[in-house]
Amino acid sequence: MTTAAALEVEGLSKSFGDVTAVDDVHLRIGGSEFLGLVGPSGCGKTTTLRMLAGLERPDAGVVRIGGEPATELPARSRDTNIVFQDLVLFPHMTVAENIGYGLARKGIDGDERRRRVADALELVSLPSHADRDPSALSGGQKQRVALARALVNDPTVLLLDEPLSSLDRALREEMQSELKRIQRESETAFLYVTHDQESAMSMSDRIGVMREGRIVDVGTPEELYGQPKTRFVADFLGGATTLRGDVTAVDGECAAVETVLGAIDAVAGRSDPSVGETVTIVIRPESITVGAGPFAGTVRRLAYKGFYRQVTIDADSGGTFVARTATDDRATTDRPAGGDGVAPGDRVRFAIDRAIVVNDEDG
Amino acid sequence: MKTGEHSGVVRDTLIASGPVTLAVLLGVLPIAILLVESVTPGPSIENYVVATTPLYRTSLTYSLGMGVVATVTCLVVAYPVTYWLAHRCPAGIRLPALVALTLPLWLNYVVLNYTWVWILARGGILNRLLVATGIIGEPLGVLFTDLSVFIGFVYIYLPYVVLTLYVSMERLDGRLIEAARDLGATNRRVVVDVVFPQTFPGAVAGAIVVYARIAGAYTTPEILGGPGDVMIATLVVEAFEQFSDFGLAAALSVVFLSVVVAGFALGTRVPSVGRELKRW
Repeated sequence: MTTAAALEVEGLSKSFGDVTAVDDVHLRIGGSEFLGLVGPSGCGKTTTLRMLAGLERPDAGVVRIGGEPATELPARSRDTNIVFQDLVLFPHMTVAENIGYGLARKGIDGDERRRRVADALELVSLPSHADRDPSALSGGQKQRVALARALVNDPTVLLLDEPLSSLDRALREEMQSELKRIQRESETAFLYVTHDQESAMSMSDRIGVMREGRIVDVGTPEELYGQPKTRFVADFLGGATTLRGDVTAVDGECAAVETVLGAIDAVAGRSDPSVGETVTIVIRPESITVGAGPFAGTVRRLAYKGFYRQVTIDADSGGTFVARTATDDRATTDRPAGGDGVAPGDRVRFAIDRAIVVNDEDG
Repeated sequence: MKTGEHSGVVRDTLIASGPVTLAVLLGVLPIAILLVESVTPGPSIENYVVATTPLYRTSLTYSLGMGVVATVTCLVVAYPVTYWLAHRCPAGIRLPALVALTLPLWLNYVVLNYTWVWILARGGILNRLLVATGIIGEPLGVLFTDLSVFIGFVYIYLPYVVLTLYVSMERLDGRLIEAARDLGATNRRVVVDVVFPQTFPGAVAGAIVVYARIAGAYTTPEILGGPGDVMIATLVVEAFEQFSDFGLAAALSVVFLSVVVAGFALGTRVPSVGRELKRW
């Protein structure tokens, strides 16, 4: 995938009092890789990031940056730079002074500093804002300045701590593609921490999913979404309906699972099920077709989500299924209809197009 | 509509009249009386001629110098203390520590000064301690010198500086410090580049509060000072009480006030200081 590792982490752990924040984390980021680290609030992803930046001391573990041991290095000597969640631009400095600060600390002065600051401003598309005060910038512009202030130092790894979380949706999406472009152009390894799985999936080359201080799975967004290894990962990345069942047959990539609905053919995925085992299968909302199919149930709830509707169905034989249907623009408001004209209480038939076998909880 | 606008103006005027009246009564009027008094009998500049003779000039320079040294010392002490209080100290002892530090504000000013007589005297606890531990052979003659006056000033005015600086220090965003460290700043650079600029308003506020009061102080040099250098307030009191020369006393006060105000005005001309003050 990539050349030499920009960052290697082995057995990183950190406790605050009795609370274990980070528990034996292993991670490897390639030289110009964009790695998203996702997980629910309090899962330890920000603590991990702060330890990599040198702002927090790990209790145990080894950090190597660009192949060099860095565990004991203080923040100022590390070849990493961080973009904080709240950006924390220096309010008493101009944009150019903010961006040039790291260079000045390295002793890079005069023309070279000016040139590199100008290049950084160019990279983040703010060439004419050098002499502004940070307070005179919009939210998106502040993001760009914070990014430039970190990137101008040419770090081996750029650490980003949910820097987009304060932006509105449109701006966030714009900045996501900007981030991806900047990452490609600067050929720098990015470690992007967020609880927003959507933005992580849209930007990352690979994603690590964290839970209760541990990294439970790492893979490309396609792998993790299409073939999640655990139920937690499936739930966290995109949500899914889960069913328990017994494996009756395994045929290569496919497993037949006997559930309350009857037999369902599921993708074996990366969980390696064996015959006779009781397993969990997950079904993505978009894998359920409402309107026709072998299963019957009652619509319990409809939720309008803009370009799709979320339909919750109680199956007759047990289990609750969440499906997505396209929004029908012609539907009138007097009847809260789904794309297929369903309403709460309606009897519907539905089909399951794809199910995936996963490990229960974290494995 | 028109009456509405009119009554709005009346209301604004009424609301504004309170503070304006207070400002005139408490600020402008006393200074005006002081100015008038300083040129009587006359009008003449006779009092100012006397007030700028070498005796008074020396005392004025000494007072302002003492003000600068004691104020700067207060700031030097208050910076690490307030930084620790606001950013390093365990939450449980922050309030007790703040109260302990500012306790002298609630005690009688004269008592505070005499406390130092008791500590610094030849037979006082400091000398006895130092002699008993063998650090010095003979008791030190610290009391009734510039040094004892200086110690008294720092002790009495430190709580004011701590309080004003603490407010700024508490507002200082700790993540700015982390950002600076992340960008390669050493401890010294963090202080120069982040802590000082961010807490500058508090330092200026503290200096404004204590500087003129130290330079114009009367009690502390009276109690802790020696016969040598005399501070300006002592001479003002002398003009009042011994010579009953109200004009000279007023002129001395005006000169002192002018020099202090001019000093601050000059300070605001420094670009970085002016820029910081505009942020208020």
